[in-house]
Amino acid sequence: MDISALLMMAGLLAVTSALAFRVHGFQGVREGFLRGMRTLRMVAPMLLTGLALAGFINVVVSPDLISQWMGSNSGIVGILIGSGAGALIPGGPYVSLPIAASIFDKGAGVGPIAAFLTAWGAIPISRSIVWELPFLGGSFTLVRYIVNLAFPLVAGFLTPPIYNFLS
Amino acid sequence: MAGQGRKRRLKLDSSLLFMLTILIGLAIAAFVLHGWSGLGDGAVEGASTLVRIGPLVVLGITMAGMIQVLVPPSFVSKWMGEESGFVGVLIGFGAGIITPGGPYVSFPIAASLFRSGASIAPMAAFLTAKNLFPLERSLVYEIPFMGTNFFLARVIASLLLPLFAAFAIPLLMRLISGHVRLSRNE
Repeated sequence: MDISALLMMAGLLAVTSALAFRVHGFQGVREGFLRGMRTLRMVAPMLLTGLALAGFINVVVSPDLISQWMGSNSGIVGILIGSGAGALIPGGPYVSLPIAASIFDKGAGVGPIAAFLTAWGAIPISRSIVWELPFLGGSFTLVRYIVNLAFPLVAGFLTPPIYNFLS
Repeated sequence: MAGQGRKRRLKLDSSLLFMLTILIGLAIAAFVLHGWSGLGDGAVEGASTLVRIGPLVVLGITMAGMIQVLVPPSFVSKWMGEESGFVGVLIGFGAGIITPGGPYVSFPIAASLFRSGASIAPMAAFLTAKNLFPLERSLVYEIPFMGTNFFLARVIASLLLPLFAAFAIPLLMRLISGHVRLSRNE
């Protein structure tokens, strides 16, 4: 999977570089590269700190702990626990979706799982600190986070009736 | 010019300080919970993530640099700038759905669009759509793991959220800071 991600990124870079070459010649490719390096220099100290931070989050908040938490609570309590668990859990979709599927099998409700996945996508504590803060700055990150706080509740309450209607 | 540079560096440092504080807090928590092995595991975990993600980050950031060169600022400010209105929000929405890859793709792209003159509302729609229902993650992970019905129900339930974000985020930023400039916008 990492190899495929690497290949995809290399492919995207190759295509954009070729386009930059076509439109602006060698100078365009050079300029794009220099702009990239400028961004990299700006975010590198924070990204390095962020990755170390993410490593410790993995140790402190384990996926096992999260699935224990979620259990089979339903209703508003389940939705709130799902939102909190989703915000806390670090890692990509290869972590969150297997957890969601396994607690779904064990009887967790549609609402709490929708809240969990929405919180993991929209208000992830670790991804916001590790990625969003370095690239987009403190005020945007903070405001986006605050506005998104209610999203897991919206998904948690609205998904179950639509799910029941569909199935 | 020099004053501006110093100001930016100061801001960068306050974010970095915030992250370092959290890092120290987490390291203490790991030590309290798991002792020395917790500290070691955290460091190893962080280093292995760096090895795995590092190359992707460099490729993603370089690609965002190329995109900045390819898409002229006049184009970005016309279609995603202050004047773009609802069309700009819809463009951001669509771009969020189709942008593939992890945070090493979406955040460099978002930063470079901001720098080329995109305004807050379209970028809010972009990030919200990317966070809630990106095509690639849906096809590769969510539908296989959760089934089509769950996926569709969740998407329908949250379909309006990117539009709400595009409305509320600029408003709140204006309320908080008195203007809608990004702190890091050059």
